[in-house]
Amino acid sequence: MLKIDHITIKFGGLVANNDVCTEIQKGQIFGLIGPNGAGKTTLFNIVSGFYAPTDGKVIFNGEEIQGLPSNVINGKGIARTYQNINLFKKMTVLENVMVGCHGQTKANLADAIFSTKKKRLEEEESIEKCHEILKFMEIDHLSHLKASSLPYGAQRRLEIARAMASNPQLLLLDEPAAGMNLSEKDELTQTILKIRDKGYTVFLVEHNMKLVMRVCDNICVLNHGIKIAEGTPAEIQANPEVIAAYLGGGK
Amino acid sequence: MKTFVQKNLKAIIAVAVLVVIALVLAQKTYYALIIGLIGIYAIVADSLDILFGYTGQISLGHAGLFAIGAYVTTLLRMRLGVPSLVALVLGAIVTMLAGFLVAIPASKLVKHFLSLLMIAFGQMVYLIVNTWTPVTGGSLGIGEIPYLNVFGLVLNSNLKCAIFIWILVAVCMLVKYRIINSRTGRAFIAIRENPVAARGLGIDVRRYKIMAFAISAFLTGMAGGLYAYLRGFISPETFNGTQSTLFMTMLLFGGITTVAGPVIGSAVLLLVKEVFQSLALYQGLIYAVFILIILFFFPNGAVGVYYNMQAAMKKKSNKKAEEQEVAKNA
Ligand SMILES: Nc1ncnc2c1ncn2[C@@H]1O[C@H](COP(=O)(O)OP(=O)(O)OP(=O)(O)O)[C@@H](O)[C@H]1O
Ligand SMILES: [Mg+2]
Repeated sequence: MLKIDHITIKFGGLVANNDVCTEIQKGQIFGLIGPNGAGKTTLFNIVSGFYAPTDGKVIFNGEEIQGLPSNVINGKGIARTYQNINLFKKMTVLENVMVGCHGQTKANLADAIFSTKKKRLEEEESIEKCHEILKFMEIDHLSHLKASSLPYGAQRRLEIARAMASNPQLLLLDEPAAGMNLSEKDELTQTILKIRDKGYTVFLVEHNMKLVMRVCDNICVLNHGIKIAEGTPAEIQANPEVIAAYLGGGK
Repeated sequence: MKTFVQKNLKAIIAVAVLVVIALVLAQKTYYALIIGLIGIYAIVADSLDILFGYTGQISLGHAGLFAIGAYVTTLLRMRLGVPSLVALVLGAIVTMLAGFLVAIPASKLVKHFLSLLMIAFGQMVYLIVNTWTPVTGGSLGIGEIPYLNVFGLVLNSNLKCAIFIWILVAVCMLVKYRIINSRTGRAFIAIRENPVAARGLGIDVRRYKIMAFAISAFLTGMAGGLYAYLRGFISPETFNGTQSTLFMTMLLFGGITTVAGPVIGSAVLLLVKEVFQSLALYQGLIYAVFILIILFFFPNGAVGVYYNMQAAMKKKSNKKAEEQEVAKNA
């Protein structure tokens, strides 16, 4: 479904991703791990269109998408969450998710001004769909609250809900468990499996090894921008290079 | 419908009382003029609210758009003999196109660069109307602008014109409300809150910024045309940089992202302006003081103060009820 083909990106002298190749199959939960500064978020930024790679291709469903603007990439079926939460703070939880429906809805300015039937029906459908997603993410009871007033764990869940509202095939989750306590992390583990079962393909960056090893079908390991290993959780755990990177990488 | 009336009973009564007072006052033609002007500036403040309050794009050049609306409407009416209402609509459309043109570079800029561009735009329009004498009448301006004719009804008094203006104010409020509570409005707010996340969710940020500019320009252009018809006279001095500051101050003072804010801000600042007319030289200073007061004491504007008071009263009455409860139990 997603093919990352010899991706290289340089920031000045720093090579944040160096000739990275990997492939994600439909229906997988694919993990991307590595020590701090390894280039994981950078790779997400390339796949989701926030950075254009210096070299290489990103192929999604057979189509080259590298360098396209992120709003266009979202339209092609890729949505993401952010490591440092990027919610619309002053909007309510429901409104945040409704913004996620933007690409799925059609009502234009004229429809809004004249409050056309099309607009009202679409609005009702969006509200219903967003409540369903919020229920799925188990935060529907908070739907009327301002996003900024949510506890940390719920904010992370809202980020996922908002991304799901844009009907992606591929969901990029950047450290969804960061800042969560143990029981929240366990619940999130279940939720990520549930998301996969719902038909989404998940591309996951996460430092919490227990979570990663529990949910991922395949894992790719980056260190200093270079891919050092790829395989099943068992293979990765046994890989001496990975162990060395983590011990030497100071994580 | 019934629930709408019940829910907003207080507001409806307040509006009704204000309308009656305004109609009584407006029997005097000078007051009718002021009331008309308040409506015109309320439309401008509303248009700025869409652009700044909701979409987060600052503009200190709206006097330029206001001028384009006023001059294009006037020139179409007087030089080309276009019917007055058509001229008003065309004036707004031309202003919208101008807004569209500045928005193309402006939508790429953020914060202070955007402010600088909009100040320069306002200044440029001011210079053009001031120096292009054969067309705009230069610093002398254009006088004897004919009355507005609305489907055969000639608005030949300040009172009639003011009533027409306030009907348009109501329409603008409704339009603004509907835009904000739609997919488009949510895109605007999302861009203000977090442009990166907005883009990641499929919103074409640039396109929506340009749209907000165009809507704002249309409304401000229409207000400019109304100004020309109400005053019957326009000259460059009405459209200088101080005017842009006044618009922004009105919005900030009244309170951004509210229904009543632009109207309240427009009314208060226009009255201040009239009262201190003899201090024309210091007008900029007066607005500066207003902005400082807002920044320090009422970051949410006059409407925000009202809500704070309401919240405080609720707290107080809750406390009272609690105390009574305690006293009862004791
Ligand atoms: N826009 C940028 N400009 C310059 N350098 C950047 C930029 N984005 C990322 N980098 C650098 O690229 C390297 C990789 O960063 P990245 O955020 O991808 O790491 P990461 O693997 O996500 O780390 P973490 O686990 O801490 O989130 C870092 O050294 C970072 O400073
Ligand atoms: Mg990261």
